[in-house]
Formats: sequence, structure tokens, C-alpha cells
Amino acid sequence: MAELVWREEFSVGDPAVDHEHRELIDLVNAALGRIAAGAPADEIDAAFGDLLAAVSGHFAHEERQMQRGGYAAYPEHRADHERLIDRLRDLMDEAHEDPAAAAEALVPALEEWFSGHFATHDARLHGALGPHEH
Amino acid sequence: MHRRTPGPFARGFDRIERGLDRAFGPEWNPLAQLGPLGWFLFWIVVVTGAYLFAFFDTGLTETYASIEWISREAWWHAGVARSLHRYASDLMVVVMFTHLLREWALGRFRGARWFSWFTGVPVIWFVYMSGITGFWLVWDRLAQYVAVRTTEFLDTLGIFGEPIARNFLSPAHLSDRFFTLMVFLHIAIPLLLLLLMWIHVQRISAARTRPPRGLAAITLGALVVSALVAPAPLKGPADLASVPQAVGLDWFFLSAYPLIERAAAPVIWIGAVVGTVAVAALPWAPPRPPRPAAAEVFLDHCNGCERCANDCPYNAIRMVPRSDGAPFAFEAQVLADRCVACGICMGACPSSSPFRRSGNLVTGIDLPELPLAELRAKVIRAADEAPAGVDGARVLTLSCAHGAGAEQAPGRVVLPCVAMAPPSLFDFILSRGLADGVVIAGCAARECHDRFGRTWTEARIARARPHAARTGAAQAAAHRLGGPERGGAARARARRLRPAACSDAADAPGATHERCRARRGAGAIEEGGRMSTTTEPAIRLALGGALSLGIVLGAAALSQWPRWQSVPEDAAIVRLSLRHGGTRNCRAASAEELARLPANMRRREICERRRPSVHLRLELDRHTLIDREVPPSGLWGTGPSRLYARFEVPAGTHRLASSVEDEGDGQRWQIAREVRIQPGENLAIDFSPEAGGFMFHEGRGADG
Ligand SMILES: [Fe+2]
Ligand SMILES: [Fe+2]
Repeated sequence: MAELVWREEFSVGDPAVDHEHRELIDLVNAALGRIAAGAPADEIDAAFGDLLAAVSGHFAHEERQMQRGGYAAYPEHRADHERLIDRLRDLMDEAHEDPAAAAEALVPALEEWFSGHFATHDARLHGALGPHEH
Repeated sequence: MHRRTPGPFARGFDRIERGLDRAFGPEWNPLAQLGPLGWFLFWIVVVTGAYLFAFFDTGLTETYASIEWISREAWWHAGVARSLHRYASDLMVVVMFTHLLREWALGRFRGARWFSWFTGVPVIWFVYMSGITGFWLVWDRLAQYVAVRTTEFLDTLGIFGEPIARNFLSPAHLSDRFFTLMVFLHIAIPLLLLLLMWIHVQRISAARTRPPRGLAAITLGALVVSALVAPAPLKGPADLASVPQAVGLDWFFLSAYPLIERAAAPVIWIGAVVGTVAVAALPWAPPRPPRPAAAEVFLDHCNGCERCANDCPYNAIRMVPRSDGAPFAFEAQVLADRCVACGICMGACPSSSPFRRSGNLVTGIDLPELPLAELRAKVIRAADEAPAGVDGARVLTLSCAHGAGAEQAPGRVVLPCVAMAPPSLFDFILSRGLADGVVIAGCAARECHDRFGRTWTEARIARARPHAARTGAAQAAAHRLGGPERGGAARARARRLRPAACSDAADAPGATHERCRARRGAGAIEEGGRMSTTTEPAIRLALGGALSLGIVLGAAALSQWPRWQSVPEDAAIVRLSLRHGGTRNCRAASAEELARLPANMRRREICERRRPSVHLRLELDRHTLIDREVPPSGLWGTGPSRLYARFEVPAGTHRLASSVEDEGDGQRWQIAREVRIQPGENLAIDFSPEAGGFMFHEGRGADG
């Protein structure tokens, strides 16, 4: 199964945001790995829990950066964050209820979930935030 | 946890406030808005004061004439402004002391809250000084009373070279300059008061200094109606030839004056100082309940998103440059001395997700006394015990430790503040099937114990705030709680956070309380908002307006009634003032002494630096009113002997005899005179050799 790989074009120019994006990729990969390996339900649950906590923190951080920088597309970007959290929560609930059946469907969903936002919303942040000191 | 048994005062306030909730609605409840109301009244006083100043004249007769014009001819604008000025000040005193008593009763003066308490104490004195200087400016009979009694009292301090009460000895003694000084003080003191009020609210975030519009409108309306119905009194011009015998005291500002008249001055001065220090020191007085441990930051889970700092109601979190080398700009830092451990920061932290993790359940900022992991465990335990309701649904209650649901009960988790619950906790409970519904039982809707706990919780659920609960979960919870009410989910959601109408704090029986108690058994607390907020704004305006009008009219009445009999009707006042420098004792210098002095300083006499005393006697008929040595003034006794004294004497014909003897040169002045003293007369005897010895300033009867 294809793991997510950090790519240079993911960089939004803010080292803090990039750092968290890398961490999130690791967490997504960890979840994918556990699903692929047929880990016990608890472990898959926990991997999702890690991801949820981390991604919530990350979104909050990104939103603060956008607000500070007066980023014009902030409302849409934030709405997408909320959509993503909802989607992640749905995935978690599915996995929680029926880990075996959900496992297969989860992999593409997770990939889409993350890469999609990267490729569109976060990429657009690139120019807006730029490399600057905080 | 964090919960003290409410004392009788707290219960009393709670009971009254619940009554007011019904009249005003919780949002406009004046008892929950005392601070903002104080500010509002202050600004009314400032604006009306500025307006009055435009029509005010300073001068012995001009002052009263201008006030009379304001109150009579211009009654419909400047007169109303004057009454507003007076009654808003009176109300400010009421609001201030109620505020003080309430914060004390609710225990909100200790620990992190010491600053607001401590800085509030001087505010009291400045409100009083602002008010008292204002009474003076009217220069009517009340002003005369205040001026004379205040100066006499200040003179007991002995810090003024010349007794300032001497300025009011007789009409001849009064000068225009005194009014200019009073105008200056009446502007400068309120400015300092404003500064103090500003300092008073510095330690808390987003201090409320403006009451809700509705309450402001009601208050202003009640003041204007009172100003028209019962204009501020004006008691005839001041006249130093006679004494105000009975005065309509403003009991809000002047209730200390009867005491000043009757008690010994040192007792009052010491009492005032001791009382002030005692009140200011209350935050450190025993019993000192242990302070809960301050919130703690876990940098591994903090990326500096600022949400905790933004939500903290006490300015206890600040963002500081990153200290751990992580590539973030900031990290949160808790100022432990400001933290009250409400847990709102934990609920705000996006990392506070209770869902299972690979490692320990750690979040970015947490409460040592109830960390996220323990909260999660408590929730799971409570869910197990949650009794099923009538319809078989299990409801889990997250309740505020300061509200109606503060007691432990099956199916209930008590939090220091409901805003400590991260929104993902509701999601967790519902999606993991721990309960069919969640009740969030906050504290009183009129005022959150931790200032913004209710607001943040409502907003987070309504998604107005970032990091909100998932829509689905929030609605499920809302439906469960809002019940089959009309108005839809949003309304239900908002409702749900309203406080329980009943409170454990109150042991009152009564229908409301019983209803709550019955519900509590089922594990759910009926939110009281439903009972109190169904009142329509129009009804609230009417009810609240009527109540406020009653309060303001009551204040207007107490602002001049009951009258205080300062001097009995058949009595008069004799004032005696002395100013004479005793002649220094000198002796002829010996030849040796002269030789020792430089040529230009040689004098035939050598005088003592200290002046001798002056002996003063005053007799009325056969009674000695005063018979004493008056020592010289000044630190080294180099100044003249000064004395000011007042005596209450029965009206009638008397023989007054007075003598002054200079103990330096033995010179003696004396006078004896038959006087007919009218009731209420102010007879002044002024002694000054420069002015020709004894000067009698006969007054006239109070009625004449
Ligand atoms: Fe993003
Ligand atoms: Fe991102």
C-alpha cells in the first residue's frame, strides 16, 4: 500500500506549519500501517485518536496563522478544516464499529482526506504566509 | 472540588437574583451587572456634571443663584441634569456597596482575585470625596452644613495651619476663592476616581464596563422619571448668620455626619483607617482555603495556537517565545498567581480530545486537579451509573461546581466550570454510546461564576467559536435537552446552557425548587432559562422598569429624608476663633553674649524661639465654656496660637464674657456683653489683636 510521502510542493513556507504537516503524514502512515497489518481494533482506534488530537491542534495553529496574516481565503480554508475533522470522525466511527470491514475502505479515504486538503487549500497558503519569522 | 458551601449571604443573593431573573430576565439582571452599572452611572454623572458646569457660577451669591436658576427656570433640561447628577451618584453608592457585598458573599475576593478587591477599596473613598465636594457646590443650607461640619472635622487632624472651619465663621469670613477650590476638587477627585476604576478592572480580561442595552435603558429611564417626579432638593441659600438646625441629609453620601457630630474625632479617624485596612486585607484573612493548583502547559502538545489565552477570563495565560526548540513561534505560559483553575483553557485546547490515544491522554494545557485523562475516566464511570430516564434514555450530566448541579449524583460529572469540557468530549460521549444525551448544566445564566464559561460553551457548541463540537453530536445533545420545544435546534442549544432555575445554594422550598429536585433524581437538571427567559422583552422592560423606578424613587427619598436634627430647635451656636501670637520672652543680653555674636547680629535682647501660650476664657452666664492655654502653632512653636471652637447654647438672653491673656507679656483683653441669642443663630466671636481685639459677629435666628 502506498504511504503518504512529504513532497516539497507541500511546503507552505512556514516552517512551523510544514513541521506539523510532516508529523501528520507520519500519523496517517502509522494509522494506515496498523490497518494494513491487521492490528487489533484498540490500536487502530488509538492511531486515529492520535491523528485527531494532532490534526485538531494543527488546524487551530494554521487558523491562527491565517487570521494573523489576514489571509483572504480563511473562511473557506477553515470550513474545509471542519469538513475534514467531520470526515475523520466518520472514518473513526466506522473503524470503531467494524474494524475488519472498514479497513479496506479506509485506506483510500484517508489518503484522499489528507492529500486533497494539502494539494488545494494548504498549497494556496504558500504565497500568503511565506517564509517569515514569528 | 473548588466548591465551598455557600454562606447565608450567598444564598440570600441567589434567592433575590432568581426573583430578579424573572422580572428583568437573566441577561438584564441588575445584580449580575453591578460592575457595568457602576460604570454606566459614573458616565451619567460625568455627562450631566459637564452640562451643569456650563450654567454654574462661582461666587458668594452667584453660586446659589445659578443653581436656583438651573432648578427653577431651566428645570426641564439643566434641572433634570442636576437631579440625574444627584440620583445617579446616590445609585452609584448603592451599586458599589452591593457589588462589594456580593463579591464578598460569593467568595470572589481571594486568591487570584485579590487585585480587583484590593483596588476597589480606594474607589469607595473617592466616590465619597467626589460626592461630598459636590454637595458643597450647591451652596444651599445642606451645603453649608456639609461645609462647616467637614471643615471642623478635617481640622481635628491638626494638619492645617489655619483652621479651615474659620472660613465659615460668619458671612464676613467667606471668600469666593473657596468655591473655586471646591470646583477644582469636584473635577480632580472624580478624574482620580476614573483612574482607580480603570485600575480596578485591569487584571481581568475583557472587563465588562457596559451594561446590556436593555438594562442601561431601564436604568436611565428610571432616573429620568425620578428626576421629573421628584427633582433633587434645593434648600434655600446658605446663610452663615444662622445654623441649619434640621437638614435633609443625603443618607447615601452623608450618613457619617451624624456620627461625626456625636463621636470623638480620633475614634472616627482611627475607625476609618482600621476599617479600610481591614476590608482591603480581607483577601489574606483567615480562613484561607487552599488555592487549587494552577493550570499546567505541556509543550509536546502545544503549538502556540493561542486558544487557551484567548478564552482565559482572568488574563492568566500569555503567549511567550518558544522555549523548547520546536519550530513554533510561541508557547502558552500560565501566570500561576492569576489562575483560578477553572479549566476553561483545557476546554479550549484543540489537543484536548478524549478519544483513545497510543500513549497517555495528554493535552496542551491541563488542570493538575482534574486532568483530561481523569475527566475521561470520570465520564466513563458516570455513564455507567447514569440512571435511565422515563423514556429509557440515559442522560449524562456535565455540571458546573457553582451551579444547581454542584452535588455529586449518579450520571453526573462536576466540573469547576462547564467550559472545561472540550467540545470533543460531547462527541466522545455520544458517538461512543456512553449516553444517549448530554446535559450541560452551567451556573446562573445571569452571570457565569468564571465570567465567560457559559458564553464560550454556548459558542463552541453553536460553532461560532473554532474547535466546536461536531454538528451532529451537538444537535443530538441539543435535541435531547431542548426536548420537543418549538424553535429548532439552535434555540434548543442555546437554551440548554441556561442555568438550572433551582440552585443547591438555596434551600428555599417553593415550586421551582421542588421541580428541580424531582428532576435531579432522574439525573437531568432542568435548565432554568426556560422558566425565566420566556418573559418577553416588552414585559421585562415593564417589570424591570417598574422595579428600577421603585429603587430610584426610594433612593431619591433617602437622598433627603429622614431629616437630621443637627442642632435642637431652641438652640443656637456660638463659634469662637482665636488667632494671636504670644509675645516672646526676651531678656537683656549680657556683654559676653553680645561679644560672641557677629557685629551685624548684635541685639540688646535675646528672645526664645518658642512663643508662649495664650490663655483663653469664655463664659456664658455663670458657665465656663472654655478655659485653657492655647499653645503656639508650628512644629517648633514659632507660630501664633490658633483655636476654633463651637458651642451649642440655649437661645435667650445671655451674658457672654471672654478674655485672652498673652502669657508672654501679660497683656490682657477682655469683653463682656449681654446678648440676645435667637434660636438657630450663629454668633461668631473672632479674636485677633491686629483686627482690634474681640469682634462680635451677631447672626440672626434661623427663621429671620
Ligand atoms: Fe489547512
Ligand atoms: Fe495544514
